[in-house]
Amino acid sequence: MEEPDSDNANEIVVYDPLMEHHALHAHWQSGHSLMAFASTDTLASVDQPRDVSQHPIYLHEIHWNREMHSPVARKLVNESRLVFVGVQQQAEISGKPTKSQLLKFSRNYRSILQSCFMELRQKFEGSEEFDEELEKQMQLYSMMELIWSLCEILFIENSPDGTVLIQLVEWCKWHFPVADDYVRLCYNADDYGSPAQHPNYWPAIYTLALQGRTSEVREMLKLHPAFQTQEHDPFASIDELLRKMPIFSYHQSQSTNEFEMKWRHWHDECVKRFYGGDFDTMPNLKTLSRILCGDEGIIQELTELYGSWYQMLISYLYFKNPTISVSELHYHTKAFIDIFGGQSELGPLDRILLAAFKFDVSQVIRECCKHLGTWWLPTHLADLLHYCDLVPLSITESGTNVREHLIVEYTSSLSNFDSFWPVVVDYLSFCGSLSNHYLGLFVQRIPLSSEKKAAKVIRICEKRGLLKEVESICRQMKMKSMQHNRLGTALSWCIKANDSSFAMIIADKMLKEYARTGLFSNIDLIDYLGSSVLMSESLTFLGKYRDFHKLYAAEKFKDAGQLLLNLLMSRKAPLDFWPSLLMDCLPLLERNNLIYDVEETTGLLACLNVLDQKQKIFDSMTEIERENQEKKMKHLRLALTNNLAKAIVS
Amino acid sequence: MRLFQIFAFLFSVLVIKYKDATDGIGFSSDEQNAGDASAKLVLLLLCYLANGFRRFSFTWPQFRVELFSTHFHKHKDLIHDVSFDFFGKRMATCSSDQSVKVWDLNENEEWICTSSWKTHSASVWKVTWAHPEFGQVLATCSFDRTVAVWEESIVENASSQLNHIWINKTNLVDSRTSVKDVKFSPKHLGLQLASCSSNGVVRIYEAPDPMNLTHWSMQHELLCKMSCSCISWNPSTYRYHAPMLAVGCDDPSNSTGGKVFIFEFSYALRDWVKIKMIMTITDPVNNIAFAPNMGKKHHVLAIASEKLYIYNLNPRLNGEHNQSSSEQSDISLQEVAHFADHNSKITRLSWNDFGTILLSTGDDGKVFLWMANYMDIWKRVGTIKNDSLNPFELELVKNVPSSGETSGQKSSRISFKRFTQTRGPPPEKPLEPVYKGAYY
Amino acid sequence: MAECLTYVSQKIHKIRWKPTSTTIQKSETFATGSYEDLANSITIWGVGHMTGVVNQDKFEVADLENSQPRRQCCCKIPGDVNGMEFANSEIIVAGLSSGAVYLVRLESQSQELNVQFNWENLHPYGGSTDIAANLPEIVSVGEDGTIHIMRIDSKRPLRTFAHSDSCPITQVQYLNTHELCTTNTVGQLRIWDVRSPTDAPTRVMSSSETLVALRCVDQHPTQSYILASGGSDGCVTLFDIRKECSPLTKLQIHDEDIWELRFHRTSPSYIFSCSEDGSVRRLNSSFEMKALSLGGSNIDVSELVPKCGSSMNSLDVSGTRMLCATDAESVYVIDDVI
Repeated sequence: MEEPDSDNANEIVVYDPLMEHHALHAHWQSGHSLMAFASTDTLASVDQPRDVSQHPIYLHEIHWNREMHSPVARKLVNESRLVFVGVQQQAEISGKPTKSQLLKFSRNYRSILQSCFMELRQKFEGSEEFDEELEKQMQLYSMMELIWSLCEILFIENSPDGTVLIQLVEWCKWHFPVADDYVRLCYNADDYGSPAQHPNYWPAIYTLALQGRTSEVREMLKLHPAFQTQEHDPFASIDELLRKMPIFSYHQSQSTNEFEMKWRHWHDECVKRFYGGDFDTMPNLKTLSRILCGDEGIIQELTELYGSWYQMLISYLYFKNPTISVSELHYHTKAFIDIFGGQSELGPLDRILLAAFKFDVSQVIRECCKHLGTWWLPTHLADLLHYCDLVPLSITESGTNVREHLIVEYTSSLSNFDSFWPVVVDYLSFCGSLSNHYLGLFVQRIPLSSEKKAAKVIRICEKRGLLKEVESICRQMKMKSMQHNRLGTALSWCIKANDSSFAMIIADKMLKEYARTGLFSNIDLIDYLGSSVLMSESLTFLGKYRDFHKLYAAEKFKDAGQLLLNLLMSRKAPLDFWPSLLMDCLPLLERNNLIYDVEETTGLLACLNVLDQKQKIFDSMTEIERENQEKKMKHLRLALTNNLAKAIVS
Repeated sequence: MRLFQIFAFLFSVLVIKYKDATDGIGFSSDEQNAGDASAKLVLLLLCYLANGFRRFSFTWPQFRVELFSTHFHKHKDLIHDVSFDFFGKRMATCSSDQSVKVWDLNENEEWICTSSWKTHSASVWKVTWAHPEFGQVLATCSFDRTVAVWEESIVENASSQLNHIWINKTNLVDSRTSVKDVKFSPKHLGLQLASCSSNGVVRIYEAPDPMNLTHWSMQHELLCKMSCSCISWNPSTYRYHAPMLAVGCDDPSNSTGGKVFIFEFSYALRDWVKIKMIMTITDPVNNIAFAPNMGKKHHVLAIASEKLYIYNLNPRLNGEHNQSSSEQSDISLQEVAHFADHNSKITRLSWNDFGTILLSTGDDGKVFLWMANYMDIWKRVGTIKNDSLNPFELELVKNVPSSGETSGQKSSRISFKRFTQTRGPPPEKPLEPVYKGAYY
Repeated sequence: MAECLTYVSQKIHKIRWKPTSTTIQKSETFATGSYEDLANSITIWGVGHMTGVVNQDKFEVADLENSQPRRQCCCKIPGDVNGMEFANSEIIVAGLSSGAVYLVRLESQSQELNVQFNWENLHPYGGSTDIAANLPEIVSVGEDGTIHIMRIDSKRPLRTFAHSDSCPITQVQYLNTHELCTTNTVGQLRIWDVRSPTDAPTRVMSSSETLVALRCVDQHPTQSYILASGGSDGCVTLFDIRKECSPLTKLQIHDEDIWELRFHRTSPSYIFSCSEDGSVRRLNSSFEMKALSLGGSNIDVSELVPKCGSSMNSLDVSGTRMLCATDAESVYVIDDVI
């Protein structure tokens, strides 16, 4: 299988005149995309400035694996993801899915491919002009279906006794309707009078026979004018052979030996009649009987009429050795490939199919990766075959295996496209032992474009136990809110992440804002924080301070006064907020009824003195502000002494 | 389960339909007037496929070149570095024209330059983003011997539009020579910044309060004794891995010995310790990059010198069993690959998000993509190269200024080109015939 | 119950039935709004009759084919469609992630969808998160905590409650011509009076101590004082706005965020809800206030769509027909849901 790598296949050419003189540099963006630009590591010297003026400076954005963004591919991705998750869940429940379950999953995948193909076909029909792109896609999907169904027959479905030919013949019939084509031509042409006169009449019969459709061959033969039912008539003879051909099926409680006996008997009869000269008068019938005898020569003769080596192989074996098992198939491949020009003539699809006939699973996957241009098929096929124990879990030093490798590649081909992120998450969470690490890396790269999306990503992380990532997302959202000066939102993210130190920063910010403007901007949140205020001392203080305002508004001056005193005495308030707190005392002191007793008033005075000593906090103020502040303090001192006097007297 | 029923059902419908179509064509007498165009088409196509399969040649479409974005401000000189934020949605570019530009991807997937400002008084070598959990923060380093830290501030203007303004938070002026590289530490180490300068000093700064980016303190100064060109933090978050830094030197002399140093932070000494020097690499090193670590126990380090080297670093995790057996963790180096495909010195390296594909750029004007299969065998999987201007391209460039631009943008010189491959072979071929049978 | 699943190759964020002129008439047209896509759009779909009956676990072939929604027309929208409502049978209003509000007209004659009017930059930070219409007024709320009330004929907003919520607003509903209710991410349900001179809400109700976000709200169609809201803990919380601020009752219906919830317009004993966990469930309750507050009311929950593996983003019910849309780009049309 050694072949020279054609590097051209994976070459992208960038056109940029600047790069004639400067090297091309590139940087990964994300997923399968990168940015390339002309650059240099050397400096332009002062006396000899670089001459870049006549060329524009370009940044080249390079993408690949974009084929998954087409509407039909999106259906494929989203539908098959459900099946994939189904497989993994089944595996989690029961250890390993049973053969019949795997077969069901495989058919699900295939039906998705089919429906995608149908949709493409509808589009193709609907479009006015010939669409090359659509045609190519149709080719790809039908090819994937072809490969998948063969793999399903050979690797997954194989019946208990190992016989596969019935299914293979069905596979040929379904994918290569050559026979139907000839038949249709025969019926369609009015020029020839009857179908039997048509030049394609015999080709139709031969190809039908090669596909094992004996009853249809008999129908066709009946149309021939010379057809007679009398004994010793060549037509009657072949009709009898066709009628009596035993068909093997393990459903019909028929043992292989029993069938083989019957079949051998029939085969001997065919050979006997052929050599007995039954068909000598009718060369066409003779050819037909040679097909029935499994004559290798005739198969070669008919290659022009009928498909490629694998079709021929199947037809030949069907009449030569119908009970052949999967493992014996590869003995026969070489002969047929030689008929078709040998190994060198094999195209990519041939190689994939050949690997399948040889029962070499890893080769199939390898060839698919190489030639299909999409990671979809190798990934999903490898996953199913992994559960059939056909793709071994070879843990190497680097710790990855084929299945994991393919899943990661498939997801990174999807991750270019933002909208696929939930799909990528689903695949990565089932990719093997390192899935949480991959997932951790991936979720960090999901753009948190909205609060809702952040909530969705957090939900996923919580389910998978990625608590560090949850924290990180909360922090990012918080920083984003801070950047837009949305303190309330930032605080709610802190609470979600239980980030007390940052909650403190925000609470202090809110207090500062109040101290400056006299207005609380986020009352609506602070008043409803509930038990969350206990998260940080500053927040508790903020909550208590709001309570003071509420008490004051409700005219419960005594309680309000006590609360305020407590706040000051407990030293919980940040120092630069003290002036505001003390000023809040002023209206209380100026009320007629006494609120603070002697002890309390002296306490307040002590606070005022402390403040006087710490002049530092006024440093940031302007001259006028400082003057105002001093005036206020003087006023307050006066009020406090008055109150003290009042208290002593009473 | 119900979904599967639907699928299965759908499938059966398809089969039935198909059968009907073929049977009808084959054997029913009234099929001629059925005129089932769709069924015919299936048949035709399948026939086409059937006949085409024998020598099926894959002709993949060529890369389509699309000019997709108009241009805004101009860099007046070559771009030195491009850096993407963690989501690949914002991009910063720096240039010899002393400026930095920030670009945002808009709703239509176009890059829009949202700010551009002069950052330094000389060429800006590198620009790098901090992790978004520290806000929108950039660091730049320049030939003018400084490192600058910038933070974005968004101001809503009168017409409710958002203006992006980048505020200079600090200038780190400790270096006496040109600062060649600057990198933020992985986020679990807090807000740290490593820079290296051409006189061989690596400096590590830390902002103790992530809310106050004006205050940075220099924590450590590591000496390499020769001109440093590049620096890379080990991104591993595995808890037994101590913080690690790799430094590359571009001293042109081969006689000065190994050019790659690996430092590790020792919690016991509270200092960085030089734990390894790669002796085999004596050519100047231009770039160095740790791969994103996806939970593997070893680290992968790529080095760009005259050749491209890929090393595996296997730390012996003594912390795992006995905490105090030795002061510093031992590490073993293992060269897993080296390539001289560029035929010239390699200038730049970049890893993809998962650390599975490495990109290298060389002075030969080519960009190569490298990938390891699961057996850790590295292989080249793709190439990007420049071609001199072809006639088609000339046309394109000529048309650029006239494509719906205002006169104010006429003089602009930076633009984007997007290469989109609609369907092509993935440039990675992880499973090569050479390693046939490697699965077993 | 006949159901039909279609993959539409678009991530659908909002799905709405076009209002019918009578309640007896079956809805046959609906609109979808997409998000997180390269080119987002609003699309109009038509569904035929869905007479399909479950018949030995198999649908009749013809019915499945007929009931597949068909794309009728489509209109590109610059941004994620975060909120979308039919203002009447011809006008669709949409709130976008870009902060703009679009007014799109469905020409019933020519079957075309055209942008008729747009307000740009209403919510410069975070974009619009939901929209409600009560012609001629439209209300848009945003992540920035701002509420804008517009008249369809005027470029300038009629009334703006600027940043009046500290936290992102998640949904908005008209209670009557002058009252609105909104939910936010710290579990508050707020009632606003458009005529009020201040920017403060007239009431704030809190669903829980733990600040669990409320995602959606709907008003009981006949007992207008009952509001049901869905939270990100998967609970449906019922409020009586005549009473005090605490919720009436709280029912755990889903496992994860409830993205939308809806009272049935004509049989209000049903509430339909869809959730991040991928299921659509139906609540059946008499909503007798006394019984509910005592916790003794009989509530039964039935599952209309079992967990489908990806987030169920939006739902709408009209008559006996329900629509829902998932992140997996699929749309369900389900008949006979009541």
